[in-house]
Parts: sequence; C-alpha cells; structure tokens
Amino acid sequence: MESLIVLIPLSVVLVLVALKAFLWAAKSGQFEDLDREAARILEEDDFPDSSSGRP
Amino acid sequence: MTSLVGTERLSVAEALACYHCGLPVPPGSVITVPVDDRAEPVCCHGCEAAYHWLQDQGLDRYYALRQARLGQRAEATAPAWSTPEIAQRYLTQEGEEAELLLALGGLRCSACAWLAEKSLGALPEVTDVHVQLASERLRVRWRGDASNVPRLAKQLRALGFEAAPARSEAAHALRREQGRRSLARLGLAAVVTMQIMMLSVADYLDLLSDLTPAYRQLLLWAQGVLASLVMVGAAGPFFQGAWRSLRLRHLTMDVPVALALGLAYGASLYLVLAGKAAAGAPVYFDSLAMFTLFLLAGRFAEERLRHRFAQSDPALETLLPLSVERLRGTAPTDTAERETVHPMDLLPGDRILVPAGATIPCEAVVLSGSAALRLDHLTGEAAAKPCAPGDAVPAGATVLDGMLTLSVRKPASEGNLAALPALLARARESQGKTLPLLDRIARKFFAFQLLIALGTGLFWWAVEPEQALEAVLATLIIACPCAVSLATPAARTTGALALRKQGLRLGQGDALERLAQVSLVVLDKTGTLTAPEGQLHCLERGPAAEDPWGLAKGLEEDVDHPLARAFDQADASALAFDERRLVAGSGVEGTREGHTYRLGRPSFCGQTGTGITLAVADGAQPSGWRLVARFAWEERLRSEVKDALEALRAQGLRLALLSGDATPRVEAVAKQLGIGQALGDAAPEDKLRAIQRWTDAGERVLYVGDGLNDAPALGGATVSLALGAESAFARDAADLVSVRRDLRAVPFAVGVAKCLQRRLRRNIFWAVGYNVAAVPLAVAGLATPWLAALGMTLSSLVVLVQAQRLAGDGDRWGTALWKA
Repeated sequence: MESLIVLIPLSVVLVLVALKAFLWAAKSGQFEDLDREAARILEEDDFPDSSSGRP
Repeated sequence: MTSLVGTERLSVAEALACYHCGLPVPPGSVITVPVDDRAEPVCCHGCEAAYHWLQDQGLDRYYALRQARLGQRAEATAPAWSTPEIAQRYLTQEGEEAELLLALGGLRCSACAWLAEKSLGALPEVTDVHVQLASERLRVRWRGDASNVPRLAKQLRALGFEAAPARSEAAHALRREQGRRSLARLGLAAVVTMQIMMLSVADYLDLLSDLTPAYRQLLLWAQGVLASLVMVGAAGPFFQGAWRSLRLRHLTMDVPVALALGLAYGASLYLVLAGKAAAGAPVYFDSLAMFTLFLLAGRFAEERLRHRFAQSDPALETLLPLSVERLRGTAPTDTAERETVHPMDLLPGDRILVPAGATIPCEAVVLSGSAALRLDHLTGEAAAKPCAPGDAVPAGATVLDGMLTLSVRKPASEGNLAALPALLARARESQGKTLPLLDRIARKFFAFQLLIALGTGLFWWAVEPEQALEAVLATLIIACPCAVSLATPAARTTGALALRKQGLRLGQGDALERLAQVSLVVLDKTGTLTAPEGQLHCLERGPAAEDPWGLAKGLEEDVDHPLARAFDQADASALAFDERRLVAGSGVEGTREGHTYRLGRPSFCGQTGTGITLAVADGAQPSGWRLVARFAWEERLRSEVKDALEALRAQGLRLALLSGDATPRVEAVAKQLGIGQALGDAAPEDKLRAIQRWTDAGERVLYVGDGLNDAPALGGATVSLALGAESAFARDAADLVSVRRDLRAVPFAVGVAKCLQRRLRRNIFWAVGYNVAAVPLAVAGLATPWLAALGMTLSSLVVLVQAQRLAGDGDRWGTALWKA
C-alpha cells in the first residue's frame, strides 16, 4: 500500500509529460495536414549525402 | 524519383526522349516500339511493356493526348502575376532569402503534392518548399528576391498546377491558430479526464473502502491537481464566453455552463482542502472534467467543419485581377511598349489593355476598340452591353470579345468596385439576426436552475445545515446543462454534413437555425432563376425567303463562341457554306451560292439598330446589304426553377423577386412564375434597402443571389444563400453556398433547417426532461457523484443520437427534390 504514495504522484507527473508532448505537437501544427505528412515518410528522399552512405 | 536528378546529369545531345515516359533514353539503349511505321525509342523494358499493354487495351490514344500535353509543357510561360514588380507585393524578404505563399490549384493527392515539392526543390536557389494538401497551399523559400519568381511560377505551370499568390492570408492564419488551440484544449481535456475517471471509478465501485483517510486524501489530491489542469488549460472558453455575455447583458448557454463548472470545482476543492472529502463528502472532479470534455468535443467538431469551408472576409483584393497590361508612353496601342503591373499600381490617366475574357480592374474610359461587356454579376442586367470609344466602363466588368484600350479614371482603390466591401460591412452590421433558439431557452433554464439550487440550499440550511453545501452542489451538477449545451453543436455538425452531401456549404455556424425561421424568400433573377447561357429568338425577318436559322447555324458551325453554341441548339438543319471566315470582334462572314452572308453586329452587316444581325449581299464584293433576320437573346429559366419554387411554397414560404435588370423583364419573369412581388432596376444599395424594408416589416428574409451586386443584400438579409460558387465575393458574403447552380438547393436547405429545428427542440425537451426527473433526487440529497456522471453521459448520448438522425432527414429531402 505504501507504494501508492510514490505511484499516484508519479502517474500525475507522467500525465503531465505526455500532455506536454501533445500540446507541443498540437501547437506546432503537427495535426494540420494529416494526408500529406502521412505520405511523406514513404517517399524516397534524394538527400545529397545519402548516396555516399549506400553500398 | 531519381528522374529529376537523372535528367540534369545527361547532356542535352545524348538526351533522346523515351516515347512512353518522356525521360531520356540511356546512351546505347536499343529498345524501340513500333509507332505507325516508325520505330520510336523507349528508355526501358518497363516502358516497352507499358506501351504494348496500352496498345492491346486499345488505349493508344493516350499518346496523342499526352503528346499534346508534352507540347504544352515545352512552351509553358510564366504567368502574368509572376513579374517581379507584382510578385514583390506578395513575398516576404528576410535578408538573402525570400518566401512566398501560393494557393495551388490542381492539387489532388499526395502524389501531386510530392511532384510540386520535388520539382521546385530541384531548382538550385530553392532552400525549402512545403505543400499543405488540406489548404492547397505551397510555401517556398529561396535565396534571392522577386526576380526568381517567374522561374518558380513557370516550373509549377509546366507541371499543370495553376498557382497564384495566396491573398487574404491573415484570416487563414487566424483560423489556423484557433484550430490549433481548440485541438490542444480538447486533447488536454481528454487525457486528463481519463486520469480522473480512473481515480474516481475505484471509489464508485467501492474498491477503496478499506483505505485509511490518508490514502484517500492522496487520491483526492491527485484528482484535484488534474481537475485544476482541466479548468486552467481547457475550460477557458466557457468562462470567457460567460464573462462576455454578462458584460453585454445577453444571456447565452455559456453562463450556466461556467457557473456549474466554477461552483463544482470550487466546492470540490474546498471539500478536499477542508478534509471533508476524505471523510466521505462527495466531490465532482470527474463530472466537471467529463462535462468540459463533452462540450469541447461538440464545439471542436463544429468548428472543424466551419473552418474547412471557411471563407475569407470579402476583400477588394480578391475582386481585382492579379495583373494588368499597361501601355508605356504615348505611342498608339499597336506600337506602344507594354508592361505588366498590379491593378493597385494604376493611376488615373494610365492606358491599359484589356483583352477578351479579362476583368476591367478600375473605372475607365474606352480609348479604342469595341467590345461586349458582361455586367450581369455587377448590375444584374442579363444582356451583354456593347461599348465603343468614349464610353465609361465600370470596374469589375468582364470583356466578352474584342480588345479594349482604356484610360484609367479612378485608381482601383476607389470607384464602384471598391465601394462594395464597405457596403457589405455596413449591411452585415444591420443584419436582421435572430437569437438562437437555445439562447432563448438558456434564460429560462438558467433561472429555473438557480431557483431550484437556491430553494434546496435554504431547505437544507433550515433542516440540516451540514448537508446544505452538498445538496446545492448535487443539484447544480445534476441539473448541469451538458446535454442542452451539446445539443446545438451536435445538431449543427450533422446538419452541415447533411447539406454537404448536396453540395451546400455552411459559412456561418448559426445559419441553419436562422434559416428555419425564414418567412419570405427573396430571389435574384439573373443567374439565380435564369441560365447563364440564354436562348436566341428571332426578332425580325427580312423579305428574303431563306431560312435564317439554317443560315446562321451553318455560318456558326464549329465556331467556339457562346453565340455559336446557342445557334447550334436551334431546331434547324445547318446550310452548307463554300467559305467562311471569322472577323474578330464583329462576327462571321461566309459565301454561299454566289451570295455573301454576314452574321454579327448590326454595323458589320451594314445595318443600324441592335441585336444579332444576319444580312446578305450579292456577289463577292459586299455592298448593299439586305436584312435577312435579327436575333436577340432571350433569357431562359432553368428547368428546375419551377419545381424548386413549388417546393418552397409547399414549405409555407412567400416569394419575392428583386433584380438589377429592367423592371418590365423582371415583372415578366415574376408573372411567368407566379411570384407576387417583383422589384426591378435595383442597384446593390437598393437591394439592401428593400431587404431592410422587409425586415422592418417583420419578415425574416432569406436572400438568394449569385452575383457581385447581390453581396450587400446577401450580407444584410436574415440569412442568405449564394447560388454557384463563381463570384468569390458573393460566396464570402453569404451564410450558405450552393456549389451547384441549382435552385432546388434552397428548398433543400430550408427543409434540413426545419428538421434541425425540430430535432433541436426534441433534444432540448429530452435534456430538460432528464433534469426535471433527476433534480428531485438531488434536492432530496440522494444523488451521488456516480449517479451524476452516469446521468450526464446518458443524456448527452441521447442528444447525440437525435442529432445523428438529421443525416437521414437530409437524405430524405435530397431524394424528394432530386428524384427526377
């Protein structure tokens, strides 16, 4: 039972951390264009330095 | 993907284009495909296979179509707005880098976005490019200044995207910011509510009965901290709204919401701090968090939908063309040097050149050339107006044919077009708004709630002072207006979705509620009731025996002009001509059986008067013209108009006609449609005044229009609907926009609005009924926090289900009106 004294505040702190991350994402516009950004990760990028790294 | 890079690596001499994909064929490749009798190179076996597949499927026309496109691609020119002088107005320069925000047309999917990004990104000066698909915007940054813009614009055009500087960006940015904040609030409320729920459900289920008060206190503290987060981070809008409504002495739903939230939070916090909660006094942290979450979710859905269709505030900027050709010096039109400038830069005395299809940017006088002007969106006049040297022309008129050299009389920031936004703003202030249904109910509800709470408090104070606070709190929470407050956003959201199915967009959130109360429908004539393309009728026939329709049809055959298309629909067989030629700005000439025929302007045919004239002369040397026939445009009522008006009458609405066209014509149309009231010759201000007269007489007016000249009336009516989305200005001024030019949209919207009203009433009945049933429990001190939470959830659910049924109402109206 004593563990609750640590666990309950800890859960509140964790929620705060998760919230902080979410709020940052929302405020920086991460949820604005779900279609385009979802596809972006699938695109092959021709980074200037990527060719040197590949075999 | 590697293609763009690959293209640059190959030297031009080696680059043989693949017949299928257009990419360079690698040196030494020998793969070819048989095209007609030749062998065309392809770059790889993949393209070879694709070529054969298309052939096998009979789809080889693809290449013909594609070739045309490739040809276009090669000669893509930079659009007129991209000249550095004009582009300078729209870009932001930060040191060495410049940034431009473009509205991109032709963007359909993620692949288009990718293409646009990569093609610009391939330019060496571009440092960053980002497409946002949802808003169809492209943001590009590059090293340099306005002088790079033509190249960027050309690149986009070559790919088939129509780009133009994004105007009225401030409103967009504001909405974006609002959207982000709403999302942040909703997310915060959701996460935190779940945490609070977790902590309190344990209590409801009596899992904590063997805990010592110290542990209980710990759990309560955790709940209190989380609830504070909700109050501070998410419930702000309710308190702001309540404060605003109190200051304006205009009671809205926000007041009881804020009161319930504030009291529940304050009292619960007090009970925790005083240690009473740990001893068993009920706290309502979970209820208030859930309450906030539900309401925020409802408002978020509504706001999302509204923002998606959101229009910008109508601004002068959007009325003007992006660029205009100005003549330098004093040389005659043909020899003078031309420059492309922004309309805002024009000064009185400047000479400008306006070709067919373009819009006149400012009030001006015709110097040379003659043309027909389209004014219907400006004045409501259906007939095109001819103009000749010396005539004054208004800003906003569209040149139908010919080419005009104009002398600017007033800068674009003054004159008839510039007056419209101001007039619209004035109209909006005077708009005959009605108080939303819920706000009217809110007053009664609020008073009722307060009285009950007060009575409960007094009763318990006399009987058992210890219980008083708890009982008052329970009353307020149980009677909290969650379901009632949720009713409106839920109904609006489903209502807007139902409208969208038939191509209607909601500009103002409360438009549907206002629409449900409408008593008089005022219709514009030109464009609203009539088709933009009229039909021709024969005014007068000469003594000759020829069939004028057959002659005209033969002369205009295959000519690409509205007139030609109208003749094409005539019920006659086209007579063959030996030879025909187009005379730009005048008409058509043709020879047949030794006679020369001309069809066009009266002066072109050696006649006086008006109308489209057909004349004949003997021999090849035309002189001595004889009149064959004279045609005139006749307005044509669109086919669905009668049905739509019938449906409106069946809905118990009265009709009136209000038009800028000549009174006799307006009255003729009104008579034909059985509309009792008709007003013609109405300028935009007159329309607004007429609307205001009706409003003052107690009518709730729905105005339906489509043109620029309707904008003030659209803004001033109780509620308004713009038909067709061509005029951005009218669109932005209206509460509802029908994308289709179909009058049945009006009875449809009214039908959905009435259903919404009914559902909303029923919803409120449910919500109030629930409160009436539950409040006695609270008054008696029997309500517990879990009962309050359960009741709130259930009543909200009932409200949502009711609202959902609006979708079905919309479908029913849709099939009833569009069944034929």
